[in-house]
Amino acid sequence: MRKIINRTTLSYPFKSAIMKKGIHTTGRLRRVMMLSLFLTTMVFSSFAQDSIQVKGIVYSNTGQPQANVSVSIAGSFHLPVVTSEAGEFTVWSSSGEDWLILSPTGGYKMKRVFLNNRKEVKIYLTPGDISSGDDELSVLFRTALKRNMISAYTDIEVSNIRHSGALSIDQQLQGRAAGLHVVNRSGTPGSGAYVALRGLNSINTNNQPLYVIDGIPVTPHGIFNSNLDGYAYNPLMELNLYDISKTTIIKDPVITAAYGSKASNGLVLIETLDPGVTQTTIELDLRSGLSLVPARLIPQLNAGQHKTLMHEVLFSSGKFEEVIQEEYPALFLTEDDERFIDYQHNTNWQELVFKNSFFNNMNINVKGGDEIASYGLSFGLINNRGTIKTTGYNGYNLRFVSRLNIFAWLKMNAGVSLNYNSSRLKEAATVKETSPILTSLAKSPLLNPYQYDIQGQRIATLAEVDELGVSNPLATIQNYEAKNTNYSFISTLGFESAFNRYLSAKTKFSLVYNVMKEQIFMPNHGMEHYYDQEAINVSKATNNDLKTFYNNTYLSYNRSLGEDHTISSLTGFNIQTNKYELDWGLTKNAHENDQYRDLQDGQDNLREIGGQNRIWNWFSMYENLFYAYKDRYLLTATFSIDGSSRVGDNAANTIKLAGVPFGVFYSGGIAWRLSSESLLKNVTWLEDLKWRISAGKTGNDDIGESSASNYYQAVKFRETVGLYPALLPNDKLSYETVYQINTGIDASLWGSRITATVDVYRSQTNNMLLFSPVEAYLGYSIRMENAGKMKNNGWEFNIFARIYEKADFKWDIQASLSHVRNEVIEIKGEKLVTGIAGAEIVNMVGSPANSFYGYIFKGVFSSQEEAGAANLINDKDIPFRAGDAIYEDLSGPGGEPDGIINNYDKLTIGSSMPDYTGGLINTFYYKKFALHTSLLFVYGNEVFNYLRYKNEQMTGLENQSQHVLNRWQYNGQITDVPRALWNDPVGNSAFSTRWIEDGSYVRVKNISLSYRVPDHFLSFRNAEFYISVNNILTISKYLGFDPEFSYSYSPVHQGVDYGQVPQPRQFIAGIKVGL
Amino acid sequence: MKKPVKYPKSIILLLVAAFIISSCKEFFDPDQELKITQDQLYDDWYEYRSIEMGMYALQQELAEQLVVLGELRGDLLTITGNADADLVEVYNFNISKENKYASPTNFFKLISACNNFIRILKEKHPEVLNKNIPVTNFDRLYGEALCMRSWAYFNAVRIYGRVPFIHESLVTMEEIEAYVNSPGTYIDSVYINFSKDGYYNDTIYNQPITLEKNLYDLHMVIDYFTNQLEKEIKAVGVNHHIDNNDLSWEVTVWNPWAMDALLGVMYLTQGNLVKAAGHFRLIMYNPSENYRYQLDNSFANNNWRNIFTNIDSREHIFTLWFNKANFQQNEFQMMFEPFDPHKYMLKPTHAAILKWEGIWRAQVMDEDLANPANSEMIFAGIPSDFYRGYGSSYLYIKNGVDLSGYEYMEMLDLRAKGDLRGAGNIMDGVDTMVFKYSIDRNRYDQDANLIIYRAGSIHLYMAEIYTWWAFNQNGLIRTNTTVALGIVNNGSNYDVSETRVQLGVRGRVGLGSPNDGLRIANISYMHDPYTNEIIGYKNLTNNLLGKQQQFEEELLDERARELAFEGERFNDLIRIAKRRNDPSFLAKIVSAKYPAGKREQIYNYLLDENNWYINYFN
Repeated sequence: MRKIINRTTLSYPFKSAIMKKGIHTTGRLRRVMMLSLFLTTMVFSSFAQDSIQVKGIVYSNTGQPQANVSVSIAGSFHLPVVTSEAGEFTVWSSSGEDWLILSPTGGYKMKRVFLNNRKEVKIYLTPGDISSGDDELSVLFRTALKRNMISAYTDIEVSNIRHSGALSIDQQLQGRAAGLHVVNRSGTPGSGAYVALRGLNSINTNNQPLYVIDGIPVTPHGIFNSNLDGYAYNPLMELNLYDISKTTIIKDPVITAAYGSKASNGLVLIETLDPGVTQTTIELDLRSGLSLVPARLIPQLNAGQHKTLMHEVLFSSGKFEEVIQEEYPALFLTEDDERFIDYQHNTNWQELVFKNSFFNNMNINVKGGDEIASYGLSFGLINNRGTIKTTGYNGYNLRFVSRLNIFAWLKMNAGVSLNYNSSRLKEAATVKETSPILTSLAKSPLLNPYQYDIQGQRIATLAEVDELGVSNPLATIQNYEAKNTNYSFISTLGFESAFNRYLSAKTKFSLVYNVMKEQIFMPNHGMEHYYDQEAINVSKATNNDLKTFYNNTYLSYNRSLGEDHTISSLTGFNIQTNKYELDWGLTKNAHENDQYRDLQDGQDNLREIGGQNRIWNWFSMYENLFYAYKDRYLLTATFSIDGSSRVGDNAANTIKLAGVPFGVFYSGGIAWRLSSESLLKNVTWLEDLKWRISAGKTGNDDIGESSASNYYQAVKFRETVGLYPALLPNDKLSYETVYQINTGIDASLWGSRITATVDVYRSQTNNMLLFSPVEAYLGYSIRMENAGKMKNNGWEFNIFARIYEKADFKWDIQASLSHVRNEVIEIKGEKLVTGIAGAEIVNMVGSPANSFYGYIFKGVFSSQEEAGAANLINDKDIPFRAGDAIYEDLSGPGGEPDGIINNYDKLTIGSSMPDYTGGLINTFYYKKFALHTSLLFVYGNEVFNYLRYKNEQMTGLENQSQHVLNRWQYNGQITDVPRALWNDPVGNSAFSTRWIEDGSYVRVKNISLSYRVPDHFLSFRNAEFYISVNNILTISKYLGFDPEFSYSYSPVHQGVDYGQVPQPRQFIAGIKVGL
Repeated sequence: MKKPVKYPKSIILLLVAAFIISSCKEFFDPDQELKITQDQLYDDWYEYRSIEMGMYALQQELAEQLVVLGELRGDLLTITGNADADLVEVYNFNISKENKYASPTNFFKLISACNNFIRILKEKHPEVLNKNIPVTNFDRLYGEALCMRSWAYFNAVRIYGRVPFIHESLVTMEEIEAYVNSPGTYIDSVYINFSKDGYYNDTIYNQPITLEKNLYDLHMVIDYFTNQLEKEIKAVGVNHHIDNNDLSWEVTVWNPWAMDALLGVMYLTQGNLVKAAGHFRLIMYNPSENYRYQLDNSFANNNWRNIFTNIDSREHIFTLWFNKANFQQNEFQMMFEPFDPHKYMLKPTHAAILKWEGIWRAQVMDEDLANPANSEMIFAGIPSDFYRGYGSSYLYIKNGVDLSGYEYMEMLDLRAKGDLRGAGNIMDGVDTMVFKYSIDRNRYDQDANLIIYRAGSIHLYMAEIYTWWAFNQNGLIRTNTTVALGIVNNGSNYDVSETRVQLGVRGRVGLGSPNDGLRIANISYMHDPYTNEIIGYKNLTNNLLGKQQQFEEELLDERARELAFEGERFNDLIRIAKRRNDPSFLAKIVSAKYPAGKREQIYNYLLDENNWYINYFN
C-alpha cells in the first residue's frame, strides 16, 4: 500500500492522476489539490517509520531567508512544517531519499527537492516570473519537467509577443534561441522568416523546421507556388501570435526522431489556447503602430550627373553621335521642343515609392467552461500597411478549441481554426519592369512621374516610358496590381481514454484545407513592355489548393517501479495524406487601355496555362521510451519507422515490410545529474547541474512525388501533344538522413536565478538528395539522387540571469551565442554550379553549401600600359583595357594561369551562412513598469548585393548610385570603379567579389516599455499599457537598405539581396485588458 | 477511476488492421493525376502515337545546335561582338564540356526516347519485326522511330567523332552505365575506305579495326544504321494528319523520302556513291505523286524564298516544324536578328556574301581557246544571285531598317565600276544578318522551320555523285559530268515534258543558261568577284581529275548559295576534304574567316582530322 502511494510522489503518474480527475493543474488550484492529496496520503502511510531528521533553511533567490514557507515530505503523514523567520525548518524523513515539497507564498514557485540522503539542506526559491526546472514542457504529447529534459531545446518566452512587430511565430523566434538563425524575409507585412536551425541540413529539399501546432504539423514551406517575384507563401500566418501559449524549439534528435522523416531540420512545438479554466476570462488586446520609410535611401546620381553618365555609356557603344541623336532625342532636346519640359527635373524617385504607414491589431480571447466542458475562443484582426505605397496585409482569424469530459474514461477535444488574409504586393527587383524599388533607383532623375499638357501644365496622368526606358516607378505603385488571398481552414477532433492508472490512449484527427489565390495585372500605361517586349500588358492568376488529413494515435504508459525507477513509454502512429493542386494562367496583350484584366481578354496565341497535381502520403510508427533512476540518471530512446509515398519502390537503406520500403530513424540520449552526486550535493547554490548526450538519425522525404517513378512529360508537337520520359527514374531514391550527436550541460544556480546551457554538436547529412549530374549519353543532364554528404559543427551557449533584484527593481538578462560551420564533404562530380539571377552558386567539397561562385575583383586597370602588361582577355576573346576590371587569373585548362578570364578563374567567394549569431535581451522592472530591450547580431556572413550590382554596373541608361562618380574616365586614373560601358561586352560587372559584401550586423530589434495597471482599474483586470519601438538601430557596413533579407525559402537564394522591402522602423502603442 | 472499457482498444486495433489491410500499396504509391507513368501508357494506338509526338518534340530541341555546330565551324557564318561565350568557344574550335551548343545531351535524350519506344514496340507488337505481315500503323511508328534514332546517331557521330552506342535493350541508367563502362574492345573486320573515284574504282579495304566497345565511330554508325533501316523497316510515315487539309504533316514527320535522303547522305558520307545514288534516285525520279521532287518553276526566281516561309511537299522532304501559336519556338531569330529583343550573335561571313554577290548572270565571254590568256569578258553581266542572296539568305541592316533594293544595286554597280569608296559610303554602318530564318516572320515569332532535307540539296548531292561517276569502257573513260551539269544548270537530266518545264538548281533562280550556268571545260577561268574580269585561268585539258575536282568545288559553292546556314556546311567540307584525303582543303576554307594570327592557328589546328570533331566522349 505504501509503495503505491509513494509512487504518486513521482512526477508523471502524479500529474496524470490529477489530470484524469478532470482537475486543472494551473496555479493555486493545483497547490490546494496537492495539499489535500498529501493529507490523504498521511492516513495511509501511518506504518512508515520517519526516523531521519532533516534540517534546512529556505532562502529567496537573492539569499534572503524566507519565513512562512510550508515544507513537507512527499508521502509522509506529518503535517507540513512552516519555516521560521530565519527560514529554518526541520522535518523527518523515512529513507533519506524522499522529496521535499515546498509551498511558498509571496510570488515564489512551488518547489520539489530531492533529499538525496542529506541531513541539512539549503534551498533557494524561484520567483514566479523566472523559468525553473520544475516548470512543465509539453513534448511528444506529454508533459515533462524541464529539469528532466535530455534534449537540447529552448522554450520561448511568449509574453513579449505583443510588443514586437512580428506577425508570425518564426519572426518572433529571432534572437531568442541559440542555434536558431532567423532571417526576416522582408519588410512586407506577413512575409515571415527563413529559419535555419543549426546550419543547413539539406541543399535541394525542404530545410525549414517542422512546426507543430497543437499536435498538428503545419503545411511545409515551399509547397505553394506563386507567380509573384519575391513572394513566398508563409504557412505560419495561419496562426495568430496572440493565441500562442507555449513555444518550444527542439534541436537534437532525441525527440525529432519520433517524427522520423519530417523533422530533420528541427522541431518547433507550439501550443495555443488552453481551455483549462473553469472561470470565464476575456482578454482584449488593441494596438496601433506606425512603420517608417527607410531612414537611409540609397544616394543616387542627380539629374546632371545622370545625363553625363548616359552620354558616356552611349558613346562607349561605338555609335556615332548622329546615330545616338536619332535613337535618343530626349538627350538632345532644346528649349523649343515640346518634350523639353519633361526633362527639367531632379526627381528623387525613392521618396515617391515609400510611405510611412499605419497598422492595427485587435484581438479578443475568451476562455471558460466548467468541469464537463470548457472552451477557448480567439478572434484577431490585422490590418497592416506596407512601407511601399499601396501595399499591405489584412486578415482575420478565428480559433475555437473545446474540451469535453464525456465519461470518466473518455474525453474529447475539438477545435476549429479559420484564417483569411489578403495581401497587396509588389514584385522584387529581379523583374526590372515592375519592381518599385528597382525602378525607383533606375529611373532617370531628369524625368518626373506626371505628364504635361500642351500649355506646359502638369496633369495628373502618369508619364509613359520614353526612349530612355525604365517603368515609371509611380506606375508600378498605382497601375500595377498584385493581390494574394489565403484561406485556411483547420478542424481537429481528438479522443482520450485512460485504461488504467498507467495506460492511456489518445487519438487526434485533423483536416486542413488551405487555399491561396493570386491575381496579378501588369499594366501597359507607364510601364516598360514585358517578356522581351512582346507583351504590353499581362494578367496572371494562380490558384493553390492543399488538403491534408492527419491522424496521430498513441498509447502512453507511465509507471514507477520501486522507489528509484520511473519508466514511461509512448507508442503510436501517424498517418498523413496530402493532395495539392496548382492551376495558373497567364495572358498577354489585352486592350491597351488596361481596362481588360481577365484571363480571357488576352491575345489567343499568347495565352499560357499550367498546373500541378501532387499527392503524397506518410505513415509512421513510433516509440519513445524514457527511464529515470533516482532522479540522477535519465535515459531515453526513440525510434520511428516511416513509409512515404515519395521514395522509390526499391529505396536504398530501408527495410521492406509487405513490399513497401520503410525508413528507420532512431535516437538515444542519456543525462546525468551531477549535482545529485555526493561530491556536489551539498553545494547548495548549485541547484542543478546536468550533463547530457544524445545522438540519432532523422530523415527528410521532400523528394518530390515523382522523382522515383518513370513518368512521362507532356510536350507540344505541332497541333498536338506528345509524351516523352520526363526523367531518369531512380527507384532507389530514398530518404536523406541526418545524423546528429549533441552533448550539453544545463546548470541552474540559486533557485534558477542563473540558468545556463552549453551545447556542442556535430551533424552529418548522408544520402543527401541532390540533382546530380549524369553522363550526357544518358540523355539527361541531371537526376535526383541520394548523392552527397554535408556536415555542420557548432556550439551554442545560452544564459539567463537575474542580475539585480531589490525591492521594486529587477534586472534580467538573457543572452545567447552560437556558432556553426557548414561544409559539403561529398558530392557527385567536382562541383555543382547553379545559376541564379546575377550570380552563380556552387556546392563543392570543402566549402559551405551554396557558396557564392565568381571572380576575384582586384580593381581597375588605370592605364592602357597597365592593361597591356597584364594582357588578359575574357571568355569572348575581348581584351581588358584601361578602365576595365582586373580579375585574378587563377588558372586555365592546363592548371596554370592562361591569360583568359573564364570559368577556370572562379572560386568560392563567400557564404551566406553566418559564423556567429546571438542575441541579448535586457529586461528592467520597476514597480509596475517593465522596460524590455532586445538586441541581436549576425557575424561573418557574406551577401550578394544584387541591387547594387544593378545600380553600379553602368551598362545602360538606368540611373546609378553616387558611387559611380568614381568611375574610370581617363588614362592614369586610379580608382576601383570600372568605366561606363554599353552592354558590358568585357564583363566588368561580372559576378565577382566586387558585389559581395560583409553581411554582419548588430541590431537593436526592440525596445518596449510597459505599465501594468493595478488590479481593478476601471473594472478591468490585468490591464497593461505599452509602447514599443522596433528596428530602432542597425549597425552594419552593408551598403543596401537592410542587411537582413531572404528572397525565398530556398537555401540557394539566401544572402542575395534582390531588393526586398527593407524592414521598417516601427512604433507601437497598445493596451491589453482583461474583463 | 472506472475500469477501462474494452471498446477503445478494439477500435484502435480495428483501425490499425483496417489500415494495414486496405491497399497498403496504393497508399504508398498514389497516382499523380497529371503525371502519366509508363505502366499507364501503351494501351492503344493513340497512346503510342503521342509517344512518337514526344520524340518529334525532342527532335525540335536539336535545331539550334545543328545550325550552330554545322555552320559556325564552317566558312559561311561568324560571330559578332554580341556572341555569348559558348558561341565564341565554338567559333574558336575550343569547346568545353559545359558548352550548351555542343552538349550531346539532347541527341541522347532523343536516342533514349527512341530506344525506350523501340523496345516497347518490339515487346508489345512483335509484328513490326515480321516483314510478311501486312503493314499496320505500328509498323510505321516503328519505322519512324528507327529513322529518328539513326538520324540522331548519324548527326551525333558527325559532330562528336565517336559516340557511345546504347542498344535499346539497355533499360535502366545502371545497365547503361555498366555497359558503357565495361572494359573490352570491339573488333570490326570491315573498314570501308573513302574512294575518291567512285564507281569505277571503289576501293574497299578489309582490315580489322579495334575500338573500345562502347564508342562507335562514323563508319560503325553508318554500317549499323544503314543496315538496320534497309533491313528492318517495313514502312515509315504514319498519316498523322490532325487537320486533314494540312499536307505539311507529311514532311514534318519521317516519311519514305526522308528515309531515303538519310540513307543517301549516310552512304555518301561513307563514300559509297552507288548506294547513295540509289537512294537519292528514289527521291528524284520517283514517279509517284507526279515526280514531286523535280525542280520545276514552283520555287523559281522570287518564289525561291517561299521555301522558308511555308512547308511545301514539292521541295521539303523532312523539316523540323515550329510554330509560335502552338508554343514551339526556337532561337534562330534571337541569334541572327539585330533588332530588340534579339541578340544578333551570329552573322554571315564576307566569304559567304561574296558567294552570292560574286556571281554574274548573262555574262558574255570572248574565249580564245588557243591562248586562254587572251580571253576576255565582252559583257561582265549583272552581279549577284539576287533571288537566293540578298533579301533571302542575308540582309543588310542600316539603322534598324534593311537596305533598299535600289541602294543595294547601286552599291554593286559602284563596286563593279571599281568605285569602292562610293560603295563603301552606301555600306557605312551596315550590319549584315542571316535572313533565312526571318523571312515573312515578325519579330516575336521566333518559329522558323529548320529544313533537314529538301529537293535542292538532294539534287546537288546527286550532281556531286555524277561528277565522280565514271567508268572504264575498253580503255576509254566515260564520265557522267554532263548529267551533273544538267542537274545543276537546267534540269536536262530529266525527260523533257511540255507541261512541266524542268529548271535545275541554278535554273530555278535564273542562273542556268549557257551564259551564266556552271560549266566543265578544259580551261577554267578565275574572275574578280567585284568586276567579273578574268584574272587568271587553269588549263585542265586531259586532266579529268582536275576537272572533277574543279567542278566539285563549284558544286560546293553552289551548295553554299543554295543551302547556306541550314546546318550542313561543315559536313560538306568534311566530306570533300575526306574524299580528297586532304585536311588542308577544309583547313584553308574554314580558317579564311579568322583574322591574321588566329587564321594560321586555326589552319594548323584543322590539319588534324581529329580536331574536326568535338571530342566529348574520348
